Amino acid sequence: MMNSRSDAVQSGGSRALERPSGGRSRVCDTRRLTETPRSEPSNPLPVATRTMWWGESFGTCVALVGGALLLSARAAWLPLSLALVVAAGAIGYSVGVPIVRYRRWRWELHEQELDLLHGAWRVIRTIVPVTRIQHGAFRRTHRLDRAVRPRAPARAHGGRQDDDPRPRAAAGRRAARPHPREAPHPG
Amino acid sequence: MTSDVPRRLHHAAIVVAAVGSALQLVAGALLVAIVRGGTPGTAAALALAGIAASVVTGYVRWRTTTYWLDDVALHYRSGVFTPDERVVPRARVQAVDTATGLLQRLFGVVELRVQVPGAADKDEVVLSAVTHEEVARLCRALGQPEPAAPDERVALQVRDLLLAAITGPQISAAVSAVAGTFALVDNVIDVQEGEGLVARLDTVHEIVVAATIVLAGGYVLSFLAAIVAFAGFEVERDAHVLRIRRGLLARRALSIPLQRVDGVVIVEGLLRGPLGLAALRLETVAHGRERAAGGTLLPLVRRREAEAVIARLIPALSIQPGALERPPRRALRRFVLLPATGGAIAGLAAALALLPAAWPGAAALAAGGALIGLRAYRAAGVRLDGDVVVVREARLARRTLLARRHRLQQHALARTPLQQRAGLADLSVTVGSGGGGKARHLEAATADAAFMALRGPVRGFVSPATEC
Repeated sequence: MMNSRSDAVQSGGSRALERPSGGRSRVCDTRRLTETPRSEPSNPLPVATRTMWWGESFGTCVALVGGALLLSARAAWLPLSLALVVAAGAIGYSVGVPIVRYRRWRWELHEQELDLLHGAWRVIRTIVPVTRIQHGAFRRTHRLDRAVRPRAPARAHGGRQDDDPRPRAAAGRRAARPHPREAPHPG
Repeated sequence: MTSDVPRRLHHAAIVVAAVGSALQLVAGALLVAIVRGGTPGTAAALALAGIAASVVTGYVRWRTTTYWLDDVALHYRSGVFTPDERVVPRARVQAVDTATGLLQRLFGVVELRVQVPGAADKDEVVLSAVTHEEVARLCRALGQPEPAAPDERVALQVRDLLLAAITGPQISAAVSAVAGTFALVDNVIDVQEGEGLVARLDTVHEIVVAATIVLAGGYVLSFLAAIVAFAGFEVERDAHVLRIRRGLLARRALSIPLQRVDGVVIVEGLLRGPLGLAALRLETVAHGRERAAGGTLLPLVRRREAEAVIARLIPALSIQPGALERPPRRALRRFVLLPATGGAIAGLAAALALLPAAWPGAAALAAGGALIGLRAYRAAGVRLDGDVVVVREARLARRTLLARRHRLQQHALARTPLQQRAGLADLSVTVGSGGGGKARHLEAATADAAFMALRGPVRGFVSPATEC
């Protein structure tokens, strides 16, 4: 009984779209859709991601703030008050957007599909069928990664021993290189 | 199957490679001789040296190029100092295409291309000259179905070929071709003279004349290119394979297994739309990057017949006639506002920077933007019919994507806070070739319904009588 109801709920969505022409029965379909069985993905990204995004937007922020202040000092058409507004906007954007992005980002890997929810202003939910994934690729911005989580890269690959004479940064770089088996490959 | 012995290409490959590189080398040598002011004797000597070098490299390339089959893959090896070796697993072969250029026709051989998903063009295995018997052997070995009596056949008539060439100018390609020609000419003629020519273009009238000449030249080139690419276009389908043949000088033959077709796009360009004409483009992983003629299913079709032709050629994409779920009327301003504002700002900026007297142009651009937005609103829509999803959108051209649901690469639902407040959402689908379609500002419930239905099991068509 439950199964047939669940099917009906799911097919309600199809019916709304499979109707040859738009009709007034859409409200009925809408109500069914709110009972859609699968909820949104729930896994967040690691907290370090937010710090990394802050780091990535830091350069742009400095350039914008510096540029606005410099321009207001040299050009008469840009008053200091306006330059300060631009600078405040740049700082707010660089700090705020990573926070919102991080809060929004959720993922979940189901048996049949990868479910992603992301976006700061425009919220996008994407479904990728697992059977359609061609390959996976890992990329690490390892210096920043080390700054955020000092030992994580070395530990993740078992790359660093306590008696390793090399400086930590070098060990981190080595560990951050993807293992050949993990490298992206076609097909 | 046991392992094959390494085989060489047909001897014609030497001539094909030599002629290809000789043309470039001789052209380069002559250009250098002319620019440097050399005598005709020097130019002839350089050209002869170029031809000799081409023949030698063509021979060496032929000597060092081998291919062979084993139980799991096709192997290809070519090159002297850093041999390029490629291995194509048989199971990954999407399609085997052939091309017969003038040289190949002379020697009774064909060029064979093995299409693999995800590989860039330079990574494809290309056997530049093999006999017809060898093509048949390789096709069999690579799991390509034997040619059978076609169930359906659509050929492009001469009148339609001319219409396709007249109405389908690829302006960007043509303009770049004209620009390339100018650059070449500019290298040859005196630089000072060229600068003088540009400097003389000082009145609006002269600029308009120059732009018209460039566009007209581009249009003619594009027309000729379309004739050369699409002459003798014919599509055949048997139970398993779609076969496309086209081309005036180089005759190309593509074979695409029907099960590997992700979808078809009906493209109504700016010139074709008002005439009730459209082109059909194939969406397949193998030919996804070939944005030009390579991915064409049919260069010209009457718009009202498009769905019927698609159903004949690719039965999996046949749909029942019916209307799309369209954005609500309250979404209209969202379609119109952005392009109209963009046009106005661009026009005002141009007027302020270049010619203040041209400010009415800003109003015209804004109106043009609004019309584009209106067109996008009228086009937008989505529909599910069995295993087929239909997504229609318009930017400059109007595109209707018919895609097989179970071969979608991904689908997404997006909304901004403003859309959320208005109860609207965007739905987009992506197929394996990277192309796709996006229906903007749909009723949120409709977009949600489509999003959920796309992830669910495929269900049959439900008639309105059984609704609710």
